[in-house]
Amino acid sequence: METLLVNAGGLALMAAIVWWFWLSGSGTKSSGDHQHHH
Amino acid sequence: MNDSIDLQPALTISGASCQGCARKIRTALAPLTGDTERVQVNLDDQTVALPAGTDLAEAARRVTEAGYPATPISPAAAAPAGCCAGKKDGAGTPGDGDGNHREQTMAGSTGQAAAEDQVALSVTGATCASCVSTIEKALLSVPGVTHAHMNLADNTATASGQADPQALVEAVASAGYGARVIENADEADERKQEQDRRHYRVSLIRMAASLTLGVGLMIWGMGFGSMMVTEANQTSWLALGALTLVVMAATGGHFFTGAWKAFRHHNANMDTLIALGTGTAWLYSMVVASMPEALPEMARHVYFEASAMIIGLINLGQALELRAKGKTSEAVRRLLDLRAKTARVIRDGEERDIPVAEVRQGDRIRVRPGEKLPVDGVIVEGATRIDESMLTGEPMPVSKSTGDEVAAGTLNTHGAIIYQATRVGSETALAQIIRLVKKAQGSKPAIGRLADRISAVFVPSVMLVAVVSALAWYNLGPEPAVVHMMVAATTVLIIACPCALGLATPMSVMVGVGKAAEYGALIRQGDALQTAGKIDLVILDKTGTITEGHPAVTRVHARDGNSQRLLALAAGLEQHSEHPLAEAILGKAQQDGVEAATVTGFEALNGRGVTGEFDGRPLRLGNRRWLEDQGLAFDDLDEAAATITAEAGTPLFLAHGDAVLGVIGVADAIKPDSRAAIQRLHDAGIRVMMVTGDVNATAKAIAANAGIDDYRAEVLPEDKANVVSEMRGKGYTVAMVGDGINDAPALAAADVGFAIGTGTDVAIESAAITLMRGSLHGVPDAIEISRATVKNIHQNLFGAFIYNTMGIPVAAGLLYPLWGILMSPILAGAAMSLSSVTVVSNANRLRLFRTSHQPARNASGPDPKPQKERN
Repeated sequence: METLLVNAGGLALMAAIVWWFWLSGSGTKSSGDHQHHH
Repeated sequence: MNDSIDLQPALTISGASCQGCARKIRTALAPLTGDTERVQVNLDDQTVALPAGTDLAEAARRVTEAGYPATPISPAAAAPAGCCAGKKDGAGTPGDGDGNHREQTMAGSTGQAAAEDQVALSVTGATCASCVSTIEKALLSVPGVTHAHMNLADNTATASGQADPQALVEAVASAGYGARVIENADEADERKQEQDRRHYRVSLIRMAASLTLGVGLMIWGMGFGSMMVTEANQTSWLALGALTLVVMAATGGHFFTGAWKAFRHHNANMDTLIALGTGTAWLYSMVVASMPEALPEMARHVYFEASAMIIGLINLGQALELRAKGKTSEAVRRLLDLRAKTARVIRDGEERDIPVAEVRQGDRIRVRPGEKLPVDGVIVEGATRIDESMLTGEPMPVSKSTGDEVAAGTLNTHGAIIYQATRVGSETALAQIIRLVKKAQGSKPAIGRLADRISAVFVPSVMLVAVVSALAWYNLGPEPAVVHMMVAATTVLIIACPCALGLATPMSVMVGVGKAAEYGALIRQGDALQTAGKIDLVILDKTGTITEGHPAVTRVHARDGNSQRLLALAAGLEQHSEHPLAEAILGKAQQDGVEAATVTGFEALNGRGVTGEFDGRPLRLGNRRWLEDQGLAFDDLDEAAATITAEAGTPLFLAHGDAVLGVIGVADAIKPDSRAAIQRLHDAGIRVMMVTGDVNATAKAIAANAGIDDYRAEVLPEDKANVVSEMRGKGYTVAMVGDGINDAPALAAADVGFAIGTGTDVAIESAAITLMRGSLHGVPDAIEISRATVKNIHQNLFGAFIYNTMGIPVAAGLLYPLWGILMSPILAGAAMSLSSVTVVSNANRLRLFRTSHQPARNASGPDPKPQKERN
């Protein structure tokens, strides 16, 4: 039970990190808008 | 700045950083304007000037499609002050195609928006590459901002566009950093220095406090007790936990607030990793201390000392970094120190000392021997020798007398002079040099932008790695699994900090650009610094670049033997011309006491010669090809012409009507150090080529004397750019070196354009690098410095990447199954601090770089102040 909870918690945490920093809000998406070349 | 009458600033663009971008934009707009020549791209201001009447919306669309987001400039902002005031209530002038658009934008203008402008901000709290991208993003999100750039090395950010400065400050503040608009650069510099000194002291105090606690706990744990929580010591551990929290808040609170602010904006930075790492260790320890019975016996270990020590070590790292950062900006400080504080001004016949800021244009200033010149001007009385080495790198003092220009910051070594101020305050050459150096120091070469992009996704990725390694330890690791998972996650978070990555490029660029300035080479963009190192072909203009640029008449050969008349007619034509060859002929006429003939209808034909009318018949002076094309024959002058070319002179033929009267030889002596400089280029494995409008034989003679590999003769000025493009097409990375005025297109077409300035002529727009000294040695100097800088950047980036890629797996415990090695979070904190300090120190190493030619004059310059500073 404990193992299941810890693993599920870890996966949920990872999902939250991906969601918060990449998928939602202004996130890193806009860094692509910043024009760079070469 | 825009000297084409029918072009006016029409678009603001972003992201155009080099001549390649400018070319792309010109090509994109050519269908609209009919010609790429009718498009002017200003990289400094990030604007595009177009002919009046161009469809701006369409132009903006095309440029945006080409990859450079563009917006039309409102004419209210772009037009010169005053031009629109009278038209306020009148609609567009009849026939003005975009009259409506103009009216709308004017009505919508708040009056606050300035033309494409740059606002500089002093930023606090930025510590790593992630902060850089966060701040740039925050600035770009402000309406009106077209381009944003953050420089971590000196903690300044610049935003281009038409945004309200206050909105920029608020945007940066809401992203979690402090910002203030820099209005007075000098004041800002001083304030920043003071701030850095304070920050340094505060960092040291924080370090001392947190390390005292950390080390104390560690000694306690190792020597007198243990870090395990038992029923007997539970209360003490709870009290120590509370104390640790207080110390962490006092000495590392800024990491936590920074992390929270970044988190709120969906960002993560170095603070995030430190806060998470130390926070996890503390929280886990508190859980152990408050309910030890809930955990297996082996897991009842506290890590308060780790939290305190990590914060202490990172504070130490930041203090060391601040110290080293201060040294990198020494080049600019040395230039700033060149400024005189007061000036002895003669007003209304009365002499008085006034602060240099109060000197007005037109003031007469007296300078005694040994004094620094306060502003730029022209000598009106007296003669002296002026040491310009601090500006140009030229070691020998230069003789100056009435009528000669002098520059602020130079040293009067010899006689007393009175001179009239022509440029004061921010207009002086010295002020321009300081501005240029600062701007280039802050610019980011392509390689640095790559590092920024990587680190923007780096921190969240590290957080994922931390969770994965924690889970792996929990599921696969030995007991006590809870302790191991906590240690591994904390260590990963702490070691992965990308601060070294963020510092790697800007630190080296700052030192490299400063070093180049010491050698009299002003680098305008970070990109030029990077590209200059890759140059494998240098194309040299002849006149003024390889040669002195002051030709002298070597031979006058008249067909009828009347060389006086020949000279009089030639001088008559040339007195209307400003060409260096004209100077030579007029000089010779004056020297021989020959009076110039009266010539009317003068016209200069670029690259061919000059023409006018004398005695009712056309008078022409020019090269053989041109006169032959006109149907004139003069085979009997071949021998005289051959002698002239064999002496590396240029034969100029004079024809009156259909009769060719004779030939005048004009030669331009090769600069004494040109040959040595060209040899240095060869030594560096670079091919050297010369382009000149001279005839083949002259070019050949000069090429042979100067040791040049290859040459192109009889090239018209406008074709020089084609030669550059042709060589680039063959795969060479081409540097074009010219005097910056008639070579502008060729300089712009090259990968790196070097403009050879004359002392203080720094405002050469078309060149990426301006050589303040007239010597060609500036080219190999700049290339050597560029190579050293790029090498330094590579070392830094390599070090930072290696550190992170090696550090993270070790921290995650990858070595544990093999050798049982698991890194402690404290060691990770020390390693992280060490990595930033290493990068900064390596960049500082570049300060010791010397080119193969001679030591920089400024390094041991005659100015006593900088020397004192180093003591």
